[in-house]
Amino acid sequence: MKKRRGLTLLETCLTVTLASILLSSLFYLSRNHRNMQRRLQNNTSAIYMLESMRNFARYQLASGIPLGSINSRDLLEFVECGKEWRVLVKTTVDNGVEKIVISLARIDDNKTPDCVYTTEVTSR
Amino acid sequence: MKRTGFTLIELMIVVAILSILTSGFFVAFPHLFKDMDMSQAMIEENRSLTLAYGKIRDCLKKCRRIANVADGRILFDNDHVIAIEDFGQQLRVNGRLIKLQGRASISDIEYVSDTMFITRVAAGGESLRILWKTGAADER
Repeated sequence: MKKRRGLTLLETCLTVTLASILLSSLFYLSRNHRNMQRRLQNNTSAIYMLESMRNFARYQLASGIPLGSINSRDLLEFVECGKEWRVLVKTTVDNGVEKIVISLARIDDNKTPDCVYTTEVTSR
Repeated sequence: MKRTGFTLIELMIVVAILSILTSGFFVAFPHLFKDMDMSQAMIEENRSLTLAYGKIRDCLKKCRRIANVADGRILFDNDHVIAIEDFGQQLRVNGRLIKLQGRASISDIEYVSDTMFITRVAAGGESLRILWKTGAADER
């Protein structure tokens, strides 16, 4: 019987492959988990911010200020959020009814936002 | 002699090595495990804030006007009450207590008009100024 002295090349390769698969899965899971946390935090902030922005637009409307005069800076300054949040405001008029569409997104490190939150307010 | 599988001693050695590696991992990277605790805390924090948001919205939908704002309490014309307690860590909506977890808080009620008020909300490491309005909104 041949005495077994150590691992063969095939066994070593297999072990290294398995370890690599395990490590990459761990890294992948950890990255996904971090993304999930970030999105969770963003979602929570966004629901509050959208509520506030919508109410701000309704308040302006009730004060006799047309929706068209609301800009993104007003909305962002009002909620006093971080610099990473961006707001896009689009106003349209259809049959005399003004409509403002507020889109909110968080942009970290100049990356493309992975989620855009939208709400709208009409003048009627 | 043909080898058909692992012996008991080999298996025991593998288990022992894995245990040593795992315990070493705990000692060498404590921040990883602290992150896991923080992650759980963050999930709870966001869950409590979402719950609070829903409760406030539900309450405001049924109210028309603010009758009185005093001592962290907002009393509405239909006797509904939203009260902030424990320095913003607790919220009581019509007697129902909502405990905000972690760094989450809702504080500083500021009267704006008889249908609107402002609160400061600490969410996701940010401090936001949120304007609330009574009545049902045409949400989309």
